[in-house]
Amino acid sequence: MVLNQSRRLSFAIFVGAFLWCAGFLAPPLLGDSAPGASKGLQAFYEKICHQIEDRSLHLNGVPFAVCGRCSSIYSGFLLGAAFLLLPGCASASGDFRALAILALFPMLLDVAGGLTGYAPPSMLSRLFTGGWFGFLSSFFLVPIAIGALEELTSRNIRSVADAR
Amino acid sequence: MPANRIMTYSLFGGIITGATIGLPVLSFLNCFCCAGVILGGFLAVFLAMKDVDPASPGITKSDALQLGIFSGLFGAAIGTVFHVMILFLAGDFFLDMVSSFLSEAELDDVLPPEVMDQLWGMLNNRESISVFDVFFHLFLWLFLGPLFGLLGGLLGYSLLQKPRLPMNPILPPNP
Repeated sequence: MVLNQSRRLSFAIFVGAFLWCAGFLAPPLLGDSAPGASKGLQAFYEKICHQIEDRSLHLNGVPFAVCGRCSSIYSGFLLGAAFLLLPGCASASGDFRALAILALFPMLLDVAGGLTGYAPPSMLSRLFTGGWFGFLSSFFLVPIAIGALEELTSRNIRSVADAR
Repeated sequence: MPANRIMTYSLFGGIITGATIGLPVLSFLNCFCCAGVILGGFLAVFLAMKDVDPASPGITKSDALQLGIFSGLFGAAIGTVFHVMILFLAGDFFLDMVSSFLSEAELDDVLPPEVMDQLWGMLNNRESISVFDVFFHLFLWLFLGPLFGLLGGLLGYSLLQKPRLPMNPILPPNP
């Protein structure tokens, strides 16, 4: 089966998202079998997440390498990227602003509720709004990324042809 | 968009990214899904879009992608320089300043206790700088910076790009 370029790129993004999610899920799954790798992964994800234990999901009593909100954002994105593997989905185009605002708004509202103290977020609200953002954001980020990579590739091919 | 302009806007985004990577208080921004790095990529696209001629077709998706990636790369380098400068020039003095700010600002009412514990833990567990730490910091951010920078660039493109109007068709002359 021969995949066209946009589906190949879409598949590459899905694999990247899968590896990223596997990385933050790994510490509790590794447990005591590979403490060095587990510690290394925790240190890697520490740069991009506060890793507060109370706000993290746990498996076998060990927290994931990122907090609950981050876990749901990345997992939502992975789920969206899986949907985009279906034929014709990843090459969508048009005005993505409405979708981006729809994706961001609930999560920003949840964060603002916590910062102002009016509506402190619960783990459920963090998971839901994060997952919603991650899932919907894949529907505009992946097509734009694929469009951008295709533009770059065609530009490079054109410049090589011009040079000849 | 010409390459030199992409580099200029990326540098502006990279300075913001670098500040959020290397400066102590601002670096907490990156604890929220690398928000500081995403902001740098977003800002690079925002500046590029503001400066573009309204009559021109605007920036393309590939421009946004490059702006995000380069702002992340510049940010990684600038952030590492900031990181080393702060530790060498100010060192304990700067961290003591942050400690006294935390104890005097009565942030207990504003920030949740677990966040305060985390901040105090980070300040108390500080270690001396080594060449390995600097290179580890640089290589880690050379991976994370472009990754999250490009997300910022693409997010900026999707939120800020105006829908393109269809071009006026060139009609054939009347017979």
